[in-house]
Amino acid sequence: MASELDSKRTRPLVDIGVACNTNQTFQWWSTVMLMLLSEEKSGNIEIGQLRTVGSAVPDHNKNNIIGDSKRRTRLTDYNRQEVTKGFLSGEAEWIFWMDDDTAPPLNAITGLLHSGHDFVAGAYFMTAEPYHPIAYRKMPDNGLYAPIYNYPDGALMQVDSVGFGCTLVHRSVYEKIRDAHTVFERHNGALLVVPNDMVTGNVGDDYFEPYVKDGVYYEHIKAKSEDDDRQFPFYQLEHGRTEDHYFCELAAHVGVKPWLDTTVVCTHYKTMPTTKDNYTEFLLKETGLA
Amino acid sequence: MKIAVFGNMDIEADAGVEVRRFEITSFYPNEKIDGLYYRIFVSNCMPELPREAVMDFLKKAHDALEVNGEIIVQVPMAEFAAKQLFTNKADPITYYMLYGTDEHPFRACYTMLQMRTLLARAKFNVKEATEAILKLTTTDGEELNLPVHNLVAVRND
Repeated sequence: MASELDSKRTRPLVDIGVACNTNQTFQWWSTVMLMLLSEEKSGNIEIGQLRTVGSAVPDHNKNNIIGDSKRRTRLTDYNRQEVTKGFLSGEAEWIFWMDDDTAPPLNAITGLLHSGHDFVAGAYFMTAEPYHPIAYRKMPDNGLYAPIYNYPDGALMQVDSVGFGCTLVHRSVYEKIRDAHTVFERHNGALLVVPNDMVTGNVGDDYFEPYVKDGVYYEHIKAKSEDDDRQFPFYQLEHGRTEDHYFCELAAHVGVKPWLDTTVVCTHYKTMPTTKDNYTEFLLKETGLA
Repeated sequence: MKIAVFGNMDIEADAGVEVRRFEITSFYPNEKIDGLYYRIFVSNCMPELPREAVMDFLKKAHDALEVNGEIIVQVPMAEFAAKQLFTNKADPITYYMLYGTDEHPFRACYTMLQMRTLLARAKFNVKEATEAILKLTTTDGEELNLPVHNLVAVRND
């Protein structure tokens, strides 16, 4: 939504979306506060709204919305959509996503902005071996995701999927996705998003049970009804996959792939913090250098 | 539009684009005489500069670019060469990556992070920093694959 302020604004306006669990470690709070202070002091960006939802334990129990002064028991994808809804109805050009267990470094947002990309993530690492950053390439032969691994420190590369624990997205990415897709309702009531250019013919009313013929799955879908007030599903937990893969695939449909900036390095707090040192140590061990 | 090229690389320019070639050790741009470049390629020659001359070169390159112009830097991967040495797998390519040739000796070797830091200090915004393979042809016609860091950075003041 444009505003009269836009023309006077000289710094990019960035909303912050945080997926929260019930508790965060004190180290997370101090690191995040320091990061926000560093952005304020550097003066490179203007922080707009803080849009917090709960919760961030991956992924089926990111459940309680706290930022909108109400509690819900929904899944991560729903909560991310609620945050996105607020972001898209506001004034900010950018949204910076964090989880409540990922603590970005000082000036993380400025660093990501300077890359010049509309969809760019910092690195945070899996909390178990091999401690790879939560970023993936899609394997062309089977469509599955393989983690980014053994990259040179400082790499800034295009990938196929990233986590949303330290991720900056421009408003235009959401708008392009929304404009280029049609939303249907599946036979089980769930929403199905299909790129417009993959839709031909008419949607019939004749319901049938899903079936498989010659290795192809057939299912009846219908147009999303006008009184269905569900948000555009930018994020969906489906087939046991996290909701960030889903968003990255929607973005890829409109020609936007995420970038991974490995100079923006977060600490990933679980019971024990996972840092880049875990990744480096494992890598050195594996390559015979330690 | 003008492109500046440092290093011995093949480049096919579109019609109307002027390509100028320079030695990295003797680059003296003058905006009033030469105008500004919209792209600068620095391919496999940054290591020829002494360390104390690198920032000076990058600053000159920055000022010689149009606003939103790009610099593309390719340097042999120091990390790869070091790993080859530490795991006793060094071959002639490894030594070339570290020391260059008699005609073009290398005076420095760069990791990705060092290269990004240098570009940031010269006020560039790095928009891509990836690994790549540079195809080299020796005087004997042999083709070699050189692992390089490939960085694209923008002047956007």
